[in-house]
Amino acid sequence: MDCKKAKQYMSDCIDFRLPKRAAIRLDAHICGCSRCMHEMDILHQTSLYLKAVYPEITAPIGFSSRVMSEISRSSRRPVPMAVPFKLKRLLMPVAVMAASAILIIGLYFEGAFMTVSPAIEEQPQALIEEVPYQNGNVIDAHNVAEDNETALLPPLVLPEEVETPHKSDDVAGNIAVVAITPVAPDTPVLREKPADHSLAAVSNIQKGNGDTAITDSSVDIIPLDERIETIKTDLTEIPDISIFIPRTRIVNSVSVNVVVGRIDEALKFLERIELVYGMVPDVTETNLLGDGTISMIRSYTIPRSFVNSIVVGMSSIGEISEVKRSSIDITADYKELLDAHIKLIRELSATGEGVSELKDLISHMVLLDNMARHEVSNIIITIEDNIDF
Amino acid sequence: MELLRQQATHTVKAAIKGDTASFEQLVQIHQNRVYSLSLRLTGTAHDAEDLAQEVFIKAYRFIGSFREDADFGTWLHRIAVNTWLNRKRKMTPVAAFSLDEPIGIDEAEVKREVADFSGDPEKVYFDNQMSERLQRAVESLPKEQKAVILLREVEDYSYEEIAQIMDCSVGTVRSRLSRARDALRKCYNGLTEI
Repeated sequence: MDCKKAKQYMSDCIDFRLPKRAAIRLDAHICGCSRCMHEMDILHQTSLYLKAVYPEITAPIGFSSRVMSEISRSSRRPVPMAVPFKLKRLLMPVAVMAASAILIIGLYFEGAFMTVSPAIEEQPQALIEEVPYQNGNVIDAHNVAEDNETALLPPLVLPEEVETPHKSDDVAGNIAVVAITPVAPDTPVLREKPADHSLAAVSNIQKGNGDTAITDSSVDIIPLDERIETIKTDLTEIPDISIFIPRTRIVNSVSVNVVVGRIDEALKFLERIELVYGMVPDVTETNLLGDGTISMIRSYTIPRSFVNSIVVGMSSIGEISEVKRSSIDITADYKELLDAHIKLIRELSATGEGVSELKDLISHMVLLDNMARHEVSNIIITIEDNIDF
Repeated sequence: MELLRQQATHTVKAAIKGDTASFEQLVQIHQNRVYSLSLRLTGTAHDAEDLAQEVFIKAYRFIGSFREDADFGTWLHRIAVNTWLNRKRKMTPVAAFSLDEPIGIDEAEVKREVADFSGDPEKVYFDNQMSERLQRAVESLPKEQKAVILLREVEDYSYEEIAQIMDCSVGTVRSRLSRARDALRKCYNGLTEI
């Protein structure tokens, strides 16, 4: 991808409208191009400034009274009936045909008893002119142009609600439950003491990946068996869980605790987070640790926002026997994702474009492949960013 | 939340049936958002009030054509944007007077200034400059681009909603937004490079 193409993608990217494949390529480009990184930063900064430049302003005092008195002074009354635009368009030819039929019948009867001159025969054509028509009533022709903003509005159709990333019906088998807690800057967070085997895994991750800045205070452990019911209840009490990360990204800290039965469920969830943040991992590591647990680290750098860096640490804690028992279950979504990666890698190999991008994709693919073969019981994700108000 | 939604739906239904008191309630609920958008679009308080008033009068007249399952606030915004665009099409450009213009005293000029006690003076200066520049840049955008950028960045509407409000395709929204952002980015670059 060149800078010109990257610039074209940026606007869509900050609104999360970029297809995943393009987002991956854009991110790969931005990571290696300081100029585009700067441009992306500016886009975000501008967006934030705009919100500050145009705060919501209160209407002047007495505004509603003035509106109402203007309405009561005006002789215009509300048009009572609503006829959908499409229906109007359907009905109009019928009305015109009916009118012309009446005229023709009328003329026929007149013609039966009278001598009709050629001038009169042409008359029906002249009469079938379009009558200004609105909401089932004929309206004042002088008002049509003035009111066309509302008169010709097709019905509004609101977009469907965004699907929440955490809900899963798969409770009986491999449980996928996610509790998402946006944390306000000064909110104290109650943390559970991790079980011993979990501690070992966390400790291993920390030792193995010291530079990824995962600390005790950033890791929450929720034992799966004991907490499922509680979490399910908690979930029903969070009404707007889908709006968990503000669009402006001015977030002091967002803590996301995930308990899932399958690591590929976790991956799906992570991908949703990636989509929301518009980020692609630049470090991914999957390790089978000495005590039989699997750890996965994904590290993200977000060059184009106020967020300096986001580190996502995932540790999967489970007995090795369980991992072996349920191996290889690649879901359809998974296959699709892998296929997309393979296709992109082939394309890139053919063109010789973007060696680093190619490497990233291959490692991502290997990771996907690894993860599809394992099952885990607990996954902990913590997202931190370095924003100070 | 659900109760509030039900109440709002009930008010809209009553207003559609011709209940003026319910319509007045709707004016009170939506007046700030409609006025804010009007002010952003027109740029002056007088024009904003005029536009906002026209929006509600039109809404009152044509409330019968409002589909109950739609969002009343979005519908009002749609009327506001279309009315403003129509006015702009009819209008010849008029020179605007800015309150930030220096005051002329005899032959000298004094800048209008208001004290600001909000912290780091360098940052305050930068923020003020940026706000001023951005506002000017938004003002100088072609009217359709201006409407799109305000609806997206300030009002937080989705592309689909903007397309409905402005009666154009989602593709058009995307390209207008991209062009507008490009113009604003240049303005931002201009300030940071000083």
